Amino acid sequence: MTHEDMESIAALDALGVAAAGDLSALAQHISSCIPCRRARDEYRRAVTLLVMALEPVSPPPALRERASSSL
Amino acid sequence: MNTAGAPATALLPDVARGNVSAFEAFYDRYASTVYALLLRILANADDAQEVLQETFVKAWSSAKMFDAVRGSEVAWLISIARSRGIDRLRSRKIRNTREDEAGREVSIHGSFIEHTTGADKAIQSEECRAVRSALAELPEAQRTALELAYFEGLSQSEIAARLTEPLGTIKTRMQLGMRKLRERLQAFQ
Repeated sequence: MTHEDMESIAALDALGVAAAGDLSALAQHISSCIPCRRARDEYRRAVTLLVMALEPVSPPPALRERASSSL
Repeated sequence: MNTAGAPATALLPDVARGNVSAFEAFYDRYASTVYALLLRILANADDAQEVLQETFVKAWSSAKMFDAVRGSEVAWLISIARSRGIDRLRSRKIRNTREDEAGREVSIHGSFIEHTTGADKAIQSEECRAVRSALAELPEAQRTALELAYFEGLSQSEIAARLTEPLGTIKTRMQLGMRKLRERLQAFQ
């Protein structure tokens, strides 16, 4: 696959919908390709920032206690 | 609290050592962001709360697996939450399909876009605002394809089927949209 193919897979990886086989190929490729690794990291960061930009919603306070007590 | 501003001290190393106080601080730092995400995916408060709890319990049990080289702790947590949210959404769809064979032609899906207050925007980092702005500027068709993938976990083929568009069209829209987001982020590097 080409670098462009890998970049496309990296974009789908960031969205959480890349196929397993493609992810394996991407992982192997970026172990030796710095530009594609950077693309993977930047796509992931972009999507993370979009989630962090959502207006926060406080969950019910009881959930915090429930989570702690279930550890 | 939204923590998109200055990088905060990582809490996961202490969580991984079994420090309950660190876990509670971790929860306080990220729960409202994760809950907002899960509400977008699931559109149901009961389901979102259940998955929120599952997410943090999973974070507690898996904290030792976190590798800071591969990304931030919030990215790691969001990945857990999103994955579990999509799993719950899929199981719910299967159940709904069994209960109601009529199904739905086009479901209402989550969106990254919303109206926020000035105060909300003030606590977001410039990077957050920039990427969000880039998303808002995308043609609606591109944004919809990205949101169907992220909030419903649909593959490109599934999105094409949902929108009754050619697969090639969907691939192009998603690639163009993601490149635009990435380009905007690169301005900060």
